[in-house]
Amino acid sequence: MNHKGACGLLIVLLLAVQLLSQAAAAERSAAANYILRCAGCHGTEGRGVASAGIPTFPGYVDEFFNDEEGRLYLMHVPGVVGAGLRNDEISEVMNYVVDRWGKPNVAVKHFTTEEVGRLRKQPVKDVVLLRYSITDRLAEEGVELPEYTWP
Amino acid sequence: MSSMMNRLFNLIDKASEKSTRKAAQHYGRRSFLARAGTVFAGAMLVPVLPFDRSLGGAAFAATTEDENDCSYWKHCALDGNLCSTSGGSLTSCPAGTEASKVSWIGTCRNPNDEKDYLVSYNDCCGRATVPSSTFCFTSEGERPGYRMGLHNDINWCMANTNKGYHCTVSVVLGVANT
Repeated sequence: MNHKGACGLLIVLLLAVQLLSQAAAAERSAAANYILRCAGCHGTEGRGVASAGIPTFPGYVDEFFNDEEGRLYLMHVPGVVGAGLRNDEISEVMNYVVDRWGKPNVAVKHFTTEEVGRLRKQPVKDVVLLRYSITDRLAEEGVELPEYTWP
Repeated sequence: MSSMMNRLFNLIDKASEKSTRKAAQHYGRRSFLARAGTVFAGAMLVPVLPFDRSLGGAAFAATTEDENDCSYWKHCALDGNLCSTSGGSLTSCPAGTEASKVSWIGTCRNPNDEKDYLVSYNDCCGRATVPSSTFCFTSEGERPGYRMGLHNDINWCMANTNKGYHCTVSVVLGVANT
């Protein structure tokens, strides 16, 4: 390859790198998406506002991850439904939340993009009633749950 | 006369053939492709480099250093009265009010380092608004009201005991791309 050919190839490569880096810059990390789309209500420390119907995460949230009905509920809470995130971004943020605020030394099942898509397609008529049916069942099993005052 | 013309045409023909053969021996088709490729690749740079990706938002226009001006970069997604013109500051509520427990969070580009920052717009609650305070409505990144989770035209004092809106602060939470 002569020097002109090499020069042309270099320019094409530089353009490819530039386009890729722009695509990467447009992607936000799970932590940044949590702050941007969730922390307004749940807080940067995940404490929520119990009196306003926003339950606290630390020490509790993993219970919903390890319950099949709980996983369906998580995909239908208003904050997830209205966040405007893609399925892959939702799975990343959910896994970030449970990794950060789930009980330590408790194994949790992470979300995949496929599962997020599947559960979001399942209709849930009343998400508050679904939560109460889950928490009533878990409470009977002796699971400690956060304060929840809605409606 | 005609023989003179024939000789002239023969000369032109030979000169053309000679120069064409010389060019064909000297420059291959690949060199043309390489040059054309360079030109096309260079042309692609023209719309890429100076392109404004703010979708017409205020982030790129935010050049003022005046915190009391709506075009100050941290105010790019704000909808409300500036607390800095209501007796408080850019980041603290005026006396007699308390910060909202829930807030609107947006991203704004800092023109000083060209980075996007996550900014929390907490309302300050518990007193009436100051009539002379500066009202800003930038709300960059906001979506229409039917997408409630992405809508900022909300009284964020709603989760507080005192729900009366007073003003809004702009608090940086971190860099958006990390």
